[in-house]
Amino acid sequence: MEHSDPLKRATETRELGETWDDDQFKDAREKDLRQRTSDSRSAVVAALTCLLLAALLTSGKIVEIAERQEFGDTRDRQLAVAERVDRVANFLSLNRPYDLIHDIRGAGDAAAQQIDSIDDVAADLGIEVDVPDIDPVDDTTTDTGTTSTTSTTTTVPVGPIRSVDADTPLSVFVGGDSQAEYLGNAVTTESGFNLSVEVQHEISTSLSRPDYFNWPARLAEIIDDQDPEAVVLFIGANDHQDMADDEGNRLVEGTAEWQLEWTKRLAITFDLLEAEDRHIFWVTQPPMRDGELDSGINQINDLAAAVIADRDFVSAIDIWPLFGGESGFSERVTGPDGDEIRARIDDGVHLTRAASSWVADMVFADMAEVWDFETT
Amino acid sequence: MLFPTFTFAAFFAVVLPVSWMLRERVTAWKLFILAASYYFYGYWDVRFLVLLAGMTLGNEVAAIAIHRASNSAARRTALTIAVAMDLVVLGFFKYYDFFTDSLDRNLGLSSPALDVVLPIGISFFTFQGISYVVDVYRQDTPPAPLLDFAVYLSFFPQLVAGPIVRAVEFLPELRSDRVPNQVEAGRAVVLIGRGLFKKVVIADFLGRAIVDDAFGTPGEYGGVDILFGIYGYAIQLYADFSGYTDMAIGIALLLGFRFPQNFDRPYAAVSVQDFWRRWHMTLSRWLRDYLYFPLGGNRKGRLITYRNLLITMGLGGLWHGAAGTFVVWGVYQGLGMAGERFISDLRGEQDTPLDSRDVRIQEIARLHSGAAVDAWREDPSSPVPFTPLEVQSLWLGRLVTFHFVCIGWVIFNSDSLGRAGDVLWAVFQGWTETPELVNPLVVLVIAGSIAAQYVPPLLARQWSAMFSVVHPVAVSVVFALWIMVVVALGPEGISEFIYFQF
Repeated sequence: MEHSDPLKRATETRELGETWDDDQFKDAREKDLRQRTSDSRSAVVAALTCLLLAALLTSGKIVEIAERQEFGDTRDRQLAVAERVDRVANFLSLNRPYDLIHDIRGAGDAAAQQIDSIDDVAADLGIEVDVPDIDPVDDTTTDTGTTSTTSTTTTVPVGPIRSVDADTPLSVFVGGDSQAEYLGNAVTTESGFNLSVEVQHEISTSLSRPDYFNWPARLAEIIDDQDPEAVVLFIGANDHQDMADDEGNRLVEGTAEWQLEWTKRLAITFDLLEAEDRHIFWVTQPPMRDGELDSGINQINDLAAAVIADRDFVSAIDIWPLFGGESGFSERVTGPDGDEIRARIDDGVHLTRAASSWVADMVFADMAEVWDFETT
Repeated sequence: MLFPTFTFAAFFAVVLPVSWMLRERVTAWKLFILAASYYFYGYWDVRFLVLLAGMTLGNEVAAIAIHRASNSAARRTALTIAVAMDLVVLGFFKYYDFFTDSLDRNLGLSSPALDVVLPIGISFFTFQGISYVVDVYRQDTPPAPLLDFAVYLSFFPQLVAGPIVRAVEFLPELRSDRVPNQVEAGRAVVLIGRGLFKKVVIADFLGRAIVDDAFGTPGEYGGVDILFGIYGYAIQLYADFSGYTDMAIGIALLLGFRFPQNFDRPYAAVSVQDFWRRWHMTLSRWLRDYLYFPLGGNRKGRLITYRNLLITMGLGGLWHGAAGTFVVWGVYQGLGMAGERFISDLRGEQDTPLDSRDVRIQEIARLHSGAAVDAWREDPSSPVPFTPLEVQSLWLGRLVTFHFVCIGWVIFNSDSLGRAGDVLWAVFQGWTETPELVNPLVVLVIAGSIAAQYVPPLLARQWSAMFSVVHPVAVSVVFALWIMVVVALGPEGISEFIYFQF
């Protein structure tokens, strides 16, 4: 090939096929465009018609998404629009195909997605809720975040429940929000004990919003299906939001009513799991980078401590001091070996794998006080 | 806001008609699109807008300084300052923790601990800024008016995850009148529909069904599960990223803008060189023009060529993330390309000493003449990629290349080399165990996605052309039904795009 004139080179035949000169490219493009293009006005009308029609066809999903927003003005506005769209779609029966596909798939059929009330779960299971008397926790937001003042003591029963060996491994369930993923992985692979572990992590879940995912309902299913001896729960990072009580009244986050309701929900969660040979491990929340979220989890930690104090079948795995504690959020902390480790990912919320392994080690240490393990 | 969400649909339902209503009033249109783009970006975090505005002003001032400089030394100085500014900003937000960790671990040098928030899309718009000032320096384009450049840098369809659009591609479309009847609506429909399906259905399904478990606890599963987990990740990453860029390109088309293609059936590649002409093509092109060619490309002998490939791909890996595994992955890709070049040299194949100026002149000439440079790999000025000698061995080449790439993806998706080793080692364990993660649907999705790589591009163009001639109402109905199917088949909730983290 000649290289002295780059434009000339473009016209020479090459191994991959012929090439065109610029005029040929231009002609081909104009012809190509005429064949492939539409008038802009009709394109815009078609796009808007499509979006409107799609909204009507999927109105149920739009309502569902609006309902899952945090309580507030934005949710109210979105829900108002979504419900209007849904009414029109219902009238025209346009949302039936979507519902049909959804039903065939069986998506959203699980109890966790069908039962919106934690009180209903308690009633179904005949649980009489024992809610501790709590003093309202101060949820003041400061720039550096408030510090949790309630110490969460770990209480474990005296003496092992049983001996665990390779023939009779300990059945463990690890559940929670997105934080539970890495913790669950670490519990599954790093214990050195004979464990049979099931993990379920559901992003964005909480006890505040059972309408999105009802953890007590799911745990009730877990008890029936798997009957785990150890249950590790890592929930709370998404609880910092308003919620609705059983009558549909909005409870503003941080108020005494909200705290009482959240405490009741946690008490129900623990009480439905109570069994003679079962022990629960509740992982507290670490400090958060965002000041408002940090205040929220401090509140959660304090409320949880009060509930756990009345229940000797529940242990608190207190990780709050490990990842900043009184000093507040820190992305890097001194790890168990004395080396500095990166404990949080970029979002300032989630623990890294290394940090999750450290938390898992604390879980294992507490487990070893409850069961007698033959090391693998 | 993510593309496949109702929030974005509501946003676009406003932006699209207003954009076309304002098209006759060019300045008003630019201001509107700029405001819409800033609203889009600020939806994640309003603080990011300060960064974006700062980058816009900084690069524009630099471009003007370069253009007005009185001599080459002054121009070079202005360019150096501009590129350094961009790299310092990128380095601070993206790599501060990585470098301080490395210094601490290897040299015992401790640095202040800063909790730096990573602005979404910073890698993409920083690279666009660098390409702009370099193109001005090379006199491929004059500096644009500030408003034009601001629109270019912030244009919401490509702001947060590409494609990396060059200023010479985008700015002329701002300066010229956009012809009202030149909306490639048919192609837009196909791209958006395809992108939605790939992202919402394919990528999310594979992540939840097999990839997360296989990579999360590889020791818990047999070799079959792990192997399909790796294949699944290859498809998930492709579907996630190409799905996003399909939607970005389709949305831009509806607004009257033509973005370059970013993926071209990458898993049909016959060699590593061929793969990088099909995967994230706009990044490959950027690395070629702004890193590989300035290093000397292939013009300074074999050893320097190999070195340049390793440096370019290594830095390309670092671009993806602040972790050693990304650098290792990039170097791994560079070794593949250098190895193929070594084999070509052994075969005695003539390698065209490529002058970067030739390539740029070709591309710009075509862009300015209105010609379509749709796929860089079709650009006749580019060198012929490494290919197996015989047609029969093309399939062997595809098989080897696909698995070479998959091994790279294991490194890419692991937070440490040890973890990558665990996954790769697990492939060879437990082949007699009953698979737990692999089921007919997983196999079907993976096999179908790979088979789709071999669908001829002509077929996709024919689909686009068909949608262009069908009545708009029919297109609306069909596409709305498609959206309904995708939403119904999708999982509960939408996970973020994997490439958002870059």
